[in-house]
Amino acid sequence: MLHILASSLHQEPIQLPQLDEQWVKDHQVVAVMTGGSEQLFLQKVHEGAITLDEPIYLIAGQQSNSLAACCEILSWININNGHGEIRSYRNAE
Amino acid sequence: MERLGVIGMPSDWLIASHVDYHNVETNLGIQLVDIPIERVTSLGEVDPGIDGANAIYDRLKELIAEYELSGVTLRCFDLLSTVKNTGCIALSRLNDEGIPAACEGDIPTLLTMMLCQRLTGCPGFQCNPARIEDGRMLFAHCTLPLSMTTCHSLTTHFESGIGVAIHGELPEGDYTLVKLSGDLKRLFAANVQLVSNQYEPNLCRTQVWLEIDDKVSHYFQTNPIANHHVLIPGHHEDKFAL
Repeated sequence: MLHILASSLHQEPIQLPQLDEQWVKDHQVVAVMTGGSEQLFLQKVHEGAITLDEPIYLIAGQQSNSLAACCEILSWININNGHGEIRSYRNAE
Repeated sequence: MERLGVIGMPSDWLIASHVDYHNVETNLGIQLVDIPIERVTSLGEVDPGIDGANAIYDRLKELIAEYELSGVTLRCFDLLSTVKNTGCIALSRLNDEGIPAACEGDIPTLLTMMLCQRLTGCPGFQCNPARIEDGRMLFAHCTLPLSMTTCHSLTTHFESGIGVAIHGELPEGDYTLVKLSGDLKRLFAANVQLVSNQYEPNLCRTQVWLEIDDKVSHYFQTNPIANHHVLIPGHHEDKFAL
């Protein structure tokens, strides 16, 4: 399942990650497109759309403070006894 | 007892950066003092250039004197829609004066900056991890102490496109990346090499590439202490052993 998060803090165009469809189907994947997406992540958890019972793969892009937001989110996941990891992607030029 | 000012609450996106004020007071001997953001936003709309940025600095200096503070963290994004300028210049100047000053109301980062300054005598660059690749990472933010730079230019703040922010270039060489967790239980410190500066759009304005080892890469990909980290000149990893 792929969740895409982007905050209103950022107005610049964003590139969606190109991910393997089967891998996305088999895992809990969150593409964090911009900084400021952290509360959107918490909302998804509180709604039950994302669970801490399974690993959470955070996808970080190359711009818009995506990796920064991934680090804050992953830290929250670990503090709350979940687990996950950050994977970086770079779309083809 | 030393006092640090929290001007405005921590930014909403700092979901893993909470601190217990009593824990900080008991274990570090530091009192955290909440100051309403209105003490800064009451400036109203200021000049959009350097004069306005300096007016924010002047207001922070008044608050530091009034509350007898050793450092501050500022919920700076609240200034964008009210004061119509940024805290970047103010925080940069304060850090250059030896007063640790952090962005976004981030308290653990302020404590980290204070720790760095006390242990090394150097101000730090509060920065976001921005890219991670094999053996290197990019870090970026819109303010830093100008004393850390070899050259700089003034530009607009990244997310808002307004106000005054800093694109600075740092000398290549030895640095240490540091972060204390909000619960004070974890302290990350790693010696790194700054290998280049860059200036690209769609990122915060000061951008540096660090050469990192596998340990640092694994830390950021699996168990980072939140977002902001502090970069200081020199190799000081040993000084930060808990």
